[in-house]
Amino acid sequence: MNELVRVSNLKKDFGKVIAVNSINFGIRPGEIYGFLGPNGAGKTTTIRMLTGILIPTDGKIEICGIDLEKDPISVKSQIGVVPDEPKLYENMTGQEFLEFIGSIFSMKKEEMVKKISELCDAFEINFLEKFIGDYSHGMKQKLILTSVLMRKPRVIFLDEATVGLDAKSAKILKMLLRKYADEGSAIFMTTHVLEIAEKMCDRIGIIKDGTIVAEGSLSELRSKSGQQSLEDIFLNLTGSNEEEVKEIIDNL
Amino acid sequence: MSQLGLLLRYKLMMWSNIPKRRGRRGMPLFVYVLILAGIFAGISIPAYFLFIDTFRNYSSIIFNGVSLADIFVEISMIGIFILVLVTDTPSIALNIFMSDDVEFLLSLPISQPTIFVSKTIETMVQGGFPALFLIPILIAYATATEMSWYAIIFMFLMYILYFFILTAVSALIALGVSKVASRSGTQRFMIFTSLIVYVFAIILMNAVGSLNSNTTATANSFAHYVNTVNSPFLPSTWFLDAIKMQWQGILFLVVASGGLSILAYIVASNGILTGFSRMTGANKKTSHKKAYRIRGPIMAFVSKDIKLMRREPSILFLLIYPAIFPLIFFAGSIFSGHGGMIDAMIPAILMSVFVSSMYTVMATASLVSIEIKVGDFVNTLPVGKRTPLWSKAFVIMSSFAIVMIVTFAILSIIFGDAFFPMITVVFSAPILLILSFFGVYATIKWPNSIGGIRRPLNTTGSFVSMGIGFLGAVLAFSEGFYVSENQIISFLPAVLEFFVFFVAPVLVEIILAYITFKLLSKVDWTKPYKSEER
Repeated sequence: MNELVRVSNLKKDFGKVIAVNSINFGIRPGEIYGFLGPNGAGKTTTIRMLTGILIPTDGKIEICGIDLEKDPISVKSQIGVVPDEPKLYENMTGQEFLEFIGSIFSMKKEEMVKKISELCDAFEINFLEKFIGDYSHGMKQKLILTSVLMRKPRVIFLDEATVGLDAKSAKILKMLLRKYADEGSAIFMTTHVLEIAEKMCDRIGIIKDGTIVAEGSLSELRSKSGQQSLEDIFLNLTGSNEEEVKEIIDNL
Repeated sequence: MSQLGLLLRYKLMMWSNIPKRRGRRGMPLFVYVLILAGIFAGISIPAYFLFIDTFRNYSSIIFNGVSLADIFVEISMIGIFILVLVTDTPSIALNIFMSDDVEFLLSLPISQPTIFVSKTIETMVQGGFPALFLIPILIAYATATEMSWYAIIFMFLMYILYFFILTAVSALIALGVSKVASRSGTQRFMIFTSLIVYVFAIILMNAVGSLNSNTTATANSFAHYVNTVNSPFLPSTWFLDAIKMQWQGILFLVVASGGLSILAYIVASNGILTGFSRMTGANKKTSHKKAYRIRGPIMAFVSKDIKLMRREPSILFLLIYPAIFPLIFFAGSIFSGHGGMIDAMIPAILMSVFVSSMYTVMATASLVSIEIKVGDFVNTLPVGKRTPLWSKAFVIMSSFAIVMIVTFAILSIIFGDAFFPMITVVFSAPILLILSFFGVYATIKWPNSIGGIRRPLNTTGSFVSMGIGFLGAVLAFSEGFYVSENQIISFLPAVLEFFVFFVAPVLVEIILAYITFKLLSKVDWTKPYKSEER
């Protein structure tokens, strides 16, 4: 099956600092890909390059078979992005924001209204008439999720998307992402909550110091590392095994 | 160090860190101090000499036992009270009762009164600047009425007490505001009031300019308000009585300032927490059926930018100025009785063209700042990088052109001559478009280190923008005036005049457009600041 996301030798440096160092991976339709790593490992830089926000130093990104560098607009019309910290137009209401997004993506009004209505019910959104400037972090997160999910993009990028969501909304989001993936979308998500990655992701990539140090399904990672829990695998690969953590705690 | 001193030191450190945060070297502190002192001296010294004559003239005119000079001081005190009250109340509400900073401080083992006092001092340092401009007026009054040096010192002590009353009242009202208003609503109100005050100050300065020329008329107009202004219930009356060493005035001022300050200290400092538990309005289920309207991507941007512009008071006011300034100018010329209607029309139109040109750059910069504040979001949308820019330039240019058309239409009706005003609009439109694109470039090249919407450009950017705006206005006015009048300077040959007033401005305009687009192509407006994040 053709991959919806193909990343080849992707590199990004900021002067002398190499943030992402020649990484390679692909995501097939129907797959949820978890991208894990400690703080400063290069997760956000990668997601920013994949979504056309940051220009890579080297390498190639193909989304839905389209070269991102050659045709960024076609790529962006196929993707949805949920950032870790939603910054939106504070002087617009939620409703106006969704209308703006619907217009940019040339959605049909009936389809848009139907999807917004469904998603508002699901996420218990009842604040669309208020100005975004008065929203809490969770409310903004729900709004941006609605703006992405209402379009049902072929590839969805989520950077710590569950942060700020209440338990019910987080659960609904996880189930919706699974549903969208089962219907043929590809999901790329970063998270620090390893339980989420363990339960949701079909494949996991672990990045450390800009390099992917492990990649595969959870069972593949288990058999390669000889460890059972994702937490142990992650800590071991990122250079903080249990003994080391214990030593740090003892020294505190 | 006491907790209060520590909080103030930490705030000062934050302010001084702002330029460093963006990796830029700011101007040294003493340069800022020198500039501020220069501005203050530039306004105060002429004001002192203007008012000293005024007070000398007015001190001999007596109404109901009160001299016109005293009434003028009282009116000034009332004016400054209202001015600072309307600007500081929303500012205190935001800085004390709705601030994230205070939310953090409340989690530390610092008492609420300490937080309240430190934040009040901080707000008054920022917002109390207009009160300084009353100092030359008070010194002029003291000189004109031959007050002794110790009486002058006493007068300023009383002025400080007067300011205590003002601050306490502001804090108490701000506490009430924080309980009922939302943060964004208060922010909009704050910008709105400070801009209203700015317009009011210009109108007042215009009026003060004619004070000495018509003493009798001024005296008669003040006479109607003597009893109101001199009411025994007003702090301004207590202040006047106090500086005349009348014990009632001193007593009222001391008791009121002390009492209100203690009240504010107790009530407002204990009320800090209530601001954070305010109601922001109940949520309600939205009807989705009729609410949405789908447009094309470009029109979606235009529609969004119009909404953002409409809801950003600082941009809205920039748009209002080109209508207000010429009308103030026009009224001033007509009422002064100097010259005819045509003499009033030309400066009015000239003023509007100048203000429009200069504020086009600022308004575009403010609108681009809103987009920059949103960050990467626009970059994830399937639109060309220039679409948001074209949209903003088009929205700002059209808005200023509409304001000019409406203003000039009013002036045309008054003067009975529509050709000159309207031809000026026609020549202004392309200039405004170039200037709005220049505004985009200026925002990227010279961003304000704080990244603000009200002041989107740093000092260099503001000066360059004003210069380019000024040049644009000269070009548009010159072209319009030449086409309308045909002959501007009688001794110049017609060909030379055509070249100087029409061909040369058009050529400069083309060069300006070329340079602007060339400069714009070299910068990435979506990446105004260097990022090192991983």
